[in-house]
Amino acid sequence: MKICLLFQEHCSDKPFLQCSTPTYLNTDLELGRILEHMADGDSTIHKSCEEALFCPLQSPEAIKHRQAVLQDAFQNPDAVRNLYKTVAGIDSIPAFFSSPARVLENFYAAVELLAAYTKTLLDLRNTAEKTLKNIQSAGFRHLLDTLRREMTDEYFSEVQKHLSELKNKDILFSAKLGGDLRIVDYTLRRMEKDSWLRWRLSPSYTVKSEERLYEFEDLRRRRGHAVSEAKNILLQAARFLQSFLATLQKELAFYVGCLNLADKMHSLGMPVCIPTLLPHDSYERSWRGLYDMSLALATGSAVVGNALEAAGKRLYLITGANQGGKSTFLRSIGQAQLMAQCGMPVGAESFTAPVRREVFTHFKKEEDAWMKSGKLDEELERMDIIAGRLQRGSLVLFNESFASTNEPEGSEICCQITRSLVENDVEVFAVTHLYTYASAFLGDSGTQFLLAERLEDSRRTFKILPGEPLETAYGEDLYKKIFGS
Amino acid sequence: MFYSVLFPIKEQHDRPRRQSEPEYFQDLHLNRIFDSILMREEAFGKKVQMDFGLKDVFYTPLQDPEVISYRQEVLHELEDDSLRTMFTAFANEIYAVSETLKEIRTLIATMEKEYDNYLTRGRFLHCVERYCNTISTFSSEIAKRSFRSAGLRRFAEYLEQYAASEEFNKMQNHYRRLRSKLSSVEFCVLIQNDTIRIRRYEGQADHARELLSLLARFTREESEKYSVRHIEEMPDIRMEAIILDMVAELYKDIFADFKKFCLQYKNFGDETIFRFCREIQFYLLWLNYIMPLRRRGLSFCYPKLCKSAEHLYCIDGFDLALAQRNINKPDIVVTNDFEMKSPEHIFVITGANQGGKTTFARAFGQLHYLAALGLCVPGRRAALYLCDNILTHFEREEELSELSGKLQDDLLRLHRLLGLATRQSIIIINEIFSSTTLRDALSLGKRMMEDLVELGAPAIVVTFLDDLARHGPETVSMMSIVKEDGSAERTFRIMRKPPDGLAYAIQLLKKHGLSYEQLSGRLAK
Repeated sequence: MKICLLFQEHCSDKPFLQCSTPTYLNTDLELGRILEHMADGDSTIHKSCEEALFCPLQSPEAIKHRQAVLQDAFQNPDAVRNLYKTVAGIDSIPAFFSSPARVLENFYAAVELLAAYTKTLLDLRNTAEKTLKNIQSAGFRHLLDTLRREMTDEYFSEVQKHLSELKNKDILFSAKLGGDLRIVDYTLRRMEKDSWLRWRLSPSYTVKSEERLYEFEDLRRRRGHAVSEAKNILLQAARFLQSFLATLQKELAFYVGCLNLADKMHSLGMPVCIPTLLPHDSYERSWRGLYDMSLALATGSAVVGNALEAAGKRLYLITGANQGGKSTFLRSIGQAQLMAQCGMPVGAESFTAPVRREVFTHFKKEEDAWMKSGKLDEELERMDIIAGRLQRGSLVLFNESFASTNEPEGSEICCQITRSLVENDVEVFAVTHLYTYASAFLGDSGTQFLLAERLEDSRRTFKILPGEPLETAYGEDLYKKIFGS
Repeated sequence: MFYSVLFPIKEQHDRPRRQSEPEYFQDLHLNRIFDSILMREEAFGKKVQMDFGLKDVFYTPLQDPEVISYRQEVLHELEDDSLRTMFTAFANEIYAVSETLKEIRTLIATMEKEYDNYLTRGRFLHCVERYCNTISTFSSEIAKRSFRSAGLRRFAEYLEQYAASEEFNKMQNHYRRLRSKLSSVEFCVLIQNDTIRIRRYEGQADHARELLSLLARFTREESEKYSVRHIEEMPDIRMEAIILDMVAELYKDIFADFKKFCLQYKNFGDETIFRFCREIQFYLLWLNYIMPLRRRGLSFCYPKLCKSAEHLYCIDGFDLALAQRNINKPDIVVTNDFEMKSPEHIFVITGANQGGKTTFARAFGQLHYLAALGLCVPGRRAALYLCDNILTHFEREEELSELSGKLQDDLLRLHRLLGLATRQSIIIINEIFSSTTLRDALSLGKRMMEDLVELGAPAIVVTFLDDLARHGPETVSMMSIVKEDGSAERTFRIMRKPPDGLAYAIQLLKKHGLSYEQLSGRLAK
């Protein structure tokens, strides 16, 4: 009984790669706000979407699988939300089940729990059969088949019958003598209805009233021993069903989160699309209307989008006007790349990009702007951490990195790092105002230069357009203010 | 006649042994080594003594080369994995039986009526079973082998004779007849409210088995079967005895024979075998302790023990306590060599801080102590001093309020140390006079060196004073080595080298491994 809403039925062991620096990504790309709106107050949705976001899938096929399920969810939003409600209501297995001191209580509680779980399964089957319409995705089809196969009406009533028999408080078991003559091999036996007479003449012992407490306790423990194996079987089944239901809840939560986000973005008048993913070895990128979702959610209004067409580029150097939308642009790329790779909708009119192993961000830390000494060291330390986890085929986003020292030094550091990344199949987007660094790549066919647009009258359009770096930085004033001359 | 696996003859075994740790245990971190050998970690990080009553053996270094080589031979032979596995299983089982028997006999000696029942007899019977099975299996196993070491060879002969004795075989046969009858007993128990009833078993269906097939679809795919065999609560032993009495009513003959057996063999068990199974743990504990280190490629060897200090050496030695602590870390354990040839007899160690100087000095002391217990020691080859004592001077943890107080303390301790030392001792002095002025330290250090030269015993002096390393033909200057590629990284290697002083500075990018070459190398992996 497998659930295949998030992963293909026969997928490789680990179709995803867990992000090694989720904290940096979360802060630098402002993902928290996006997740918040996906969850809409539901912690399960939050957790499920967050987990998926930081575990980017590694093949276009695995991503297409989720996109198909997402498409079905867009067609059946109410049915998906109803299924989610049904599983969200189940009780979990209480912690006391791991306590060996209460075998007997746990046994009777396990009987009840199993009854409840099988009932939930039956309800799910009924809801799915009645409300899911025109299903196209392998994921939802597999779910429907599983429920139909595993929980027929006949099987349901047979299980209920057995469970009610187990509620009897008299217990019969057989046993043998162990090596040290202790009583062993407690085996729960089914009581035969007519056997009572035969027992009347057998040796017996009745608990004495003055010693009732501890002797009674002993009889309770022996009954516990006798049902222990049956309890384990019941609990194993209960755990299996709980994990099935919890997985289903988690996987449905992901799609409910996507529905929530799409609703929200539409209400702001912003588009979302299901992106196209290219294989690992591709270096093509094209998009229209790509925007920073987090910015739109924060301002509660429509924001500027950008377009790009590029092929065969490994390095994107973004220069130009300060406060001109460079960071926003960088964030929108990071968000879209991560969200696309986990099968979520993307904030753009259209978005095509290759699958990347991992996304890393190395952003200037604003709060450290005044602590010149030690800052460069901190930045290098962060880069060292990233380098330790970086694999070929990844994407790194730099935002004003290593600029806290003087221009020649900062440029040298940037050049050495960038060169070795790009030469080793790592795709790099770098926002920088270091002219020496940026101009070092002029004339290189693998580099795409982008420029934040500023009009003649100094107004900024927040558009990022192709364009080579200009020697006079627009932000000279700002630079002087922060770093001193 | 065989008596002990730790001493060739009974008289040596009976001589008094140290009951507490020697003084230098802490300084040399020997306490860490032996604590992890003699303590076993139980649940919740609780540590429990598991010393088999062998503490005194670990605390008593030997000076008799004959006993040392008796032990070295046994230990060497036990390094064979299959042999050791065999002996371990045998010794552990018999040791456990002897401990249980002790407990049962104590219980019975209290004459409490509560213990005069089938349950106590059952435990006793179980001891007989384990004892007989273990001895007959093991004696037939060792009959197929021949032994090189005197200790194991003599024990094997002893055991074979015992296992062939009439007394042993008579008990074993009786036990087997009884056991097969008891195993045939199967009964049913019905518990209703406050009453428990017993009958013979009559083929009623297994309920759990039926559940298993009913719920198979919910259990089959689970890779990790849910079957926590929790520590079942012990049922009440009085009630257990009451139930056994009821079962005895159903099977009268079997239980009568059982009672008779217990009376007849109440004093079974051989003292020499029990002693062997306790004492062999000395070797087994040690080999188990060093096994993970060996697996990491560290060498141990059987040192030659020398009465004179003409030529002492060790190749690839290391601090055992440190290696053990870092066992799970990926770093390679650094090994070091030393060699001391007459007239040399004092190592003076200088060099970078935290560079492994103290570790080297500790390892030197550890090697000599372990060798004197008859154990194998860290290193590929070693010739060590057969010493009468190890004398150490390490900096005290507690802060003395005034510098003069500390200097005075240093001098008092040094004085005492030199008073106790003989030509046959080993001296280890770590960072003495570190709290006084350089001038004082130099002049006092020189005097100390003169005293050590006069004493003539092998010594190690760890110091920051380069001058002491140039004292004379008796001294060997050794240094902790740093890398010479400009990184000034510590290597933890200690080598013969005249003293010098190096500082280190690292370039920023290189320090983080982010230069073009470094980063490309990291990514190329």
